[in-house]
Parts: sequence; structure tokens; C-alpha cells
Amino acid sequence: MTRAACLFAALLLVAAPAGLAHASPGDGCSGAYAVDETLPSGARWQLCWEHHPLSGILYGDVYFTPRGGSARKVLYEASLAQIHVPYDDNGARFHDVTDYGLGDEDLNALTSADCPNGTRLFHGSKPVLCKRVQRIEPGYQHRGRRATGFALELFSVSHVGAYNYIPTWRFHDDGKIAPTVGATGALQRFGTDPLYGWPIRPSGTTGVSHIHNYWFRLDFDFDEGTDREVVDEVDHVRVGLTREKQVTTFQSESARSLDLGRRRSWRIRDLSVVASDGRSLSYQLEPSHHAHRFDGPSFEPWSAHQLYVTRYADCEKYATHNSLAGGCGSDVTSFVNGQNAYGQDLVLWYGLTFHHLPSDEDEPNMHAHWDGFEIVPRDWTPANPLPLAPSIASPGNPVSRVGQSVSLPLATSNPSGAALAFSASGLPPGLAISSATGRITGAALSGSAGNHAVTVTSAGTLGGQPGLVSDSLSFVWTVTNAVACDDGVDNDRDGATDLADRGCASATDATERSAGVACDDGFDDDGDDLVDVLDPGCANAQSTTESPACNDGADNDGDRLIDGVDPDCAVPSDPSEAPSVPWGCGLGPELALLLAPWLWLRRRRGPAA
Amino acid sequence: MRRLGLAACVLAGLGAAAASGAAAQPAPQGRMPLAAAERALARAGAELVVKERLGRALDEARFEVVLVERRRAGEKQPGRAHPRAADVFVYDYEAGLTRRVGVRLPTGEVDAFEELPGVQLPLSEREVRRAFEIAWADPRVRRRVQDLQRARTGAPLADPSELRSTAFVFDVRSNPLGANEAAARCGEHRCAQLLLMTSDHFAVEVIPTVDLSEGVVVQVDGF
Repeated sequence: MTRAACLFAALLLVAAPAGLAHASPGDGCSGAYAVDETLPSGARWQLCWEHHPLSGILYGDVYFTPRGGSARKVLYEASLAQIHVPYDDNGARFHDVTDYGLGDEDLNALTSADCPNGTRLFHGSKPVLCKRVQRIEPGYQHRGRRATGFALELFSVSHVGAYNYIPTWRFHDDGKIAPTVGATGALQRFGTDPLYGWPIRPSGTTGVSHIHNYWFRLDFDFDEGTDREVVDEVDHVRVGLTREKQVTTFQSESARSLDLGRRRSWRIRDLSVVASDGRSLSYQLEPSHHAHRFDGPSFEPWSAHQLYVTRYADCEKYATHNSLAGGCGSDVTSFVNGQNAYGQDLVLWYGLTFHHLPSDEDEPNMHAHWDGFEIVPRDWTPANPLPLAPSIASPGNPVSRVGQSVSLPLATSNPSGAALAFSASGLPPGLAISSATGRITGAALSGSAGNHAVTVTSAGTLGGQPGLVSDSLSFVWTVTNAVACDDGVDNDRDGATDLADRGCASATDATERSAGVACDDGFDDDGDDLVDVLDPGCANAQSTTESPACNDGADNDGDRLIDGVDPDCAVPSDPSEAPSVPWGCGLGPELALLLAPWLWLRRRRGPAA
Repeated sequence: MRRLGLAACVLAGLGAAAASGAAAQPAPQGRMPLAAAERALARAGAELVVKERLGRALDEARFEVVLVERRRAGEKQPGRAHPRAADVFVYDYEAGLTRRVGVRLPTGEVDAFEELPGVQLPLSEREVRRAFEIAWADPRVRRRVQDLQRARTGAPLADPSELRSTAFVFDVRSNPLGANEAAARCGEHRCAQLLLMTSDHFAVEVIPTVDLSEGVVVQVDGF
């Protein structure tokens, strides 16, 4: 046995066992190459990633499990299938993926600073992929009800010449997938003719304008072993003042263009994979970034369209320069060759364009510019799969008085089952909300009368993340000063308190006094400096005059002498015109009638003094 | 097809595994990228078949291993597990074409050895270094680079090591209307489009195209 042969055999021993079938999430990979992330909102993404010398990072066997749902496969494989960079002066036309490569030595070793709040995933001993969870604020918001969204984010960085590309894939908790590419680094090419760029240095140097054509390859597979996919083109055609939806299902492989006027998008579905209502589960390709278009020369025919729908073929790997990289067919236009595309295993190739006009600000470090699009589930779940926010029922606009004890529960629905915590701002001083129950209790403090703009919030914790779902509600809480008929005080000192006082028709009356009743009206009706029942002229609070017998303009004792003319009246406030005589010594009937109220007033003088 | 299975080398194999640290890696499976041991096994298969079929050693300057990748062909066929295999792509400067060596894993059986005319995969690091040496030896390129550097900084480069070089493989199909007659042979020949950057991270405003098959600069700057 030769030494070389022995070494070869030794290598056999350390190589892997045969490949495994991967018909369920995670079957096709393990260790660092398997990503299994349950987002705080409860959605779960499972996928494999793979390093490739040309493509950089490939993603495969991508499964999505909506919150409370079951896992379903979305993609068999997804990759950045070319970055084509033609310069406006035709000085270079680069095909970065196939002619340079995004992997191997050109895949950056990520530092922890490159991946803040994330985990670096290693290919061998090299950290090449950053995995982290990004908050999406808001995931949705409807009036006060909102939920925080989350996305699993995976990105790598590849340096190509002076550029750093950052292919980034975000897998959202509502099932959306958002591929984007950032481009930063430094300008690559310079010239002198401003016709093809922008002067960027005092020396007259021109930064040459150029295009980044990003091509993505999306091999959808909904469930295992079905592959009966079709692609619909969805247009919205103007008819008079209306827009009519127009859906065209491709029967054969197709090359299609954006149509901004028709709001064109595309969706892919599997004829075998339907929801309980019979509708196809699908993913819609939303061409969200299409400000620029590239119309290349005849030797770049792929630039004529932005979407290509092709039957899956092993050897169709790159959108351009496919045959240079060992594949079949020169580019994506040659993949479209009339094959049946109805109910087949289909691949979408999508290209988007960014035209970069350099500026001084691109030196020495070029800003990162980002380009991408979205593929969004349609009819995948019966409703938005993000957790439902709690809902606080309006308590109206409460009114309470200073010192009044209140206890106001906030009726709140909590469909997600989140652990709720309540808070409030703007409550009148003296009132507080229970964090646990949401009940507002207390009594408004003195001096707090007025309108208070109150906002109550119910925030729910899910997946260990506080505030993941919440509802906020604003209302006005009015505090009034205490009123005399409900303050527990005998305000008019007539011996009756609040509603026991005849002056109080209800608890909201602001006075215990009775208008029109001289002995309970708060006035000195007879000018003797004594008011109401403090006036000896008042027999009681119901008396209709404060005037005593010696000041009432009447001959009270029948002696034909009135008030001050009557010698029995010493002063106008004398309560009786009758002479003061001992009991049983000729009391006239008039005096007898006055005796009882006189005695009553005598008793009242004591406490009033 | 030839298979090497040598039980006598068990101990050597275990030693290799321990030395490479491969035991710490998850067992390669499915769509996982090639492990270091698998790449080594694939290269060993390529060495073997090149020796057997061409009578030459793979490490000769004639050959350049330009790509080792996990084979994905056939993996979606219904009912099939991922066939674990590697493809080694070797550029043969003497033949002027790329060759593919297919190696099954983990058996090491070589199941393909084919010529791929017209295939131009990215350059190896060794090829990039050679392209730069050829370019720097060309007085037109050197003068142009130094003129540009002098204009930007006031002084020429003291040493070519102050430049960092990378390169695209260039095929005339990238720009058939812009290439001159010599560059038009790129594709048939193996060519590099060289990107130069100064140590202070400025891209040099010249992109020479180097015919590695001929060892000459075919186009000094762009097209």
C-alpha cells in the first residue's frame, strides 16, 4: 500500500455517512447548519444553511410554523443567484457570483461587532453567518391595539473587490420572507468623463456610475413530494374609474416584466396544497423595490425581464453565466424554453436593480445601500398569525368628586392569553391602577378638581417578552369639588346633614339651603344681623320669616299695638309683643301660641353660640 | 471507477480525524456543506484520477483546482435521499479547459471525470497572485498605476506589496463588444480581470486584463 493510498483511505474514515432523507424540518442538516428559531410571538422557522464557494450562503428546507399552527414547508432552496454589475462607461461588466464568488476566502469572518445581539454561526472554524432576532415595530397597530413583530435575521458579508455585500434574509413571524442585499465598502471604478458618473474629487476624477442587478433564485416547495406548482400573474387593470383584478396563470415557462401601471405581482401556489376552504396556499412575490430598471445590450438578454418562471433543473443554478459555472444554458433566458409550467416543480428567478450614481459622500467609505423585495404568504393562515392584542373596553369619561371613593374596573379581553400588566398615566392625584387587575381605585385629592387626560395601557408578556401585545385607551376623568349635599357636614348648621336637610333635593345639590324659605335661605332677611335659624325670629328652618313678633308689622297680641308701638317690644328683635308675665298669670291666647317656638329657640341658642 | 478501501489504515484515519478536529464537527449529512475531511477526500479522488487518466500529478502547475463543491444534482428526485458527493473542478492549462472529477462520499469512489469546455470558474488565490505578477511586470500597467498614485498622493508606490489584488475570471462573453482582439480569446484562454487596491483602501483606477494561459496583459484598463 502506498502512502498516498493509505492517506486516502484514512480520509474515507473521517468522511460522513451517506446522506439522509429530509422529509421533515431539520432532517437535512444538523449542528450549526440547522437553524430552529421560535420567535417570541410563537412563530417558528426551521431551515438549513449551507456554505457554497460561489453563492456564499444557501438556505434550504425552509419550514414555517405560524403561532398555534403546524409546520409547513415553504422553500426547498433560496439563494442569491447573481450580482451583475455593468458600469455606465462599459469599462467593466462584472458577474460577481460566478466570476468572483461570494464564498470561501471571500466570505468574511464575522467578528462579534459585526453581529451585535446575535449569534455567529460557524462553517468549520470560521464564523460566517450572523443569526439574530429583530424586533419589528409595530407588527401591527390598530388604534391603541398593537403587537410587536419579530423576524429571524440571517446575514453574511462577502467582499468582492472593493465592495462588501451583505446578503440578508429576514424570516418574519407572519410568514413573510424578505431577502435584501446591502452594498457598502468603497467605490471600485473611476474615470474622467462626467458623462458616465459624477465628479468626486478636486482632481477631476469621476466616480463611474454603475448598476447592481441582484438576481434571486427561489425554489418553492409546499409540502413534501407534491410539486404541483403554478404561478399566477396578478394585474390590476384600469377600467374607467375602477381597477379590475386580472389573474393569468402561466401554462408554460415564462419571462415577465414589472408593470407599475398595473400594480403587477406574482404568486406561486401548489395545486395539491389547499386550505380547508379550498383556496390554495400561496406565496406572493411583492416587487417592493423597483425604482430602477436595467435594460442591457443584446448580449445581456436576461435584462429584458425581471421575473422568470422555470421548471426545476439541477443544472440551472445561476441567473447569468450559468454555463460558465458548469451549468446548462447560458442564462435564465435559456431556461425558459417552452416547457409545461402548470402543476410542475417551479423555480422563480427574480431580478431587481439599483443604479448607483457616486458622490463625494461615497469616499472614503461608501454608505450601505439596500435593495430587496418580499415574498408574502397569501391564504396561508385564516387570519393574521401574530398574537391578538388585548382590548380594553372604554369606561366612558368618568366623573368623581374630590374625596369620593372610586373603584373602576377596566373590562379587558385577552385572546392571546398573555400575562397582562396594567399601567396608567394622567390619573387624578389620589387614584391608582392595579398592575395586576387593571382596577382604578382611590379618592381624588383636594385640589385635583378639573379634567384629567388619562391613558391606560394593558401590556402582555408572551414568550418571555414583556409588552409583546398591548392596548392603550385614552379618556378624560373629571374631578369636581365636593358638594354641600354630599359632604357629611351640616353646612347650614340647621341640624340636618346632606340629604336629611330639606334644602337638599339630591346629593349633587351644591347647597343645603332652601331658596325662598327665609329661615333656610342663607340670608339675613329681616336685617337683624342674624341669619336663618340663628335668628330668633325663626322657629325652625322651615319657617318662612325671620321676623319676630316685634318686627313683623302685625299686632300679634291683639292689643291693637304693632311692633315698636307695643310697649311689650323692647327692641325690634323681641320675639313677642306680649308682656313678660309669670306662668299662670293671665297669659293671653296669643302668648300661649308663641310659647312653644320661643322655648325651641332658647334651646337653639345654646349650640349656635 | 476505482474504490480505495483499506482497513489497514484505520489507525491512520482515526489519527487524521483527531488531528483535523473533524470529530468536533457535526456529521455531514443532507445539504450540509462539505466538511474539511470530505473536501480532502474529494481532492484525493481528483489526484487519483488525474494520475490514472492523464499520468500527471494534480499539484503540477498545469492544473489548478478552482472549485470543490457538494454535488446537488439529482438530490430532488422523488424518493431519493441526498446523494452525498463532491465535484472537483480543475482547470487544465495544457488542455485549455476545465475538468470535473465526481467523487462519491464517503466511499471515495470516483464516478465522473469529464471535460467542460467553456467553463470558467473563479480564480484560485494562486492564479490571482500570478495575474498580479504578470500585470506588474508589464511596464504599461506599472506606469499607469504609478501615474495614478502620484496624482492622488504626490508620490508613487515604493513597492508593489503596497497593492492588494483580487480578480474576476474574465470571459469575453461578459463584454463581447468591448474586448480587443487579444482579450477576445478570454474564455478560450483563462483570463483574470485584476482589481488593485492601495493599502489605504483606495481602488486603483486601472483594471488590467491578464491572459493567464499566455502569461500576458491583453488589455491595460477596462474596455
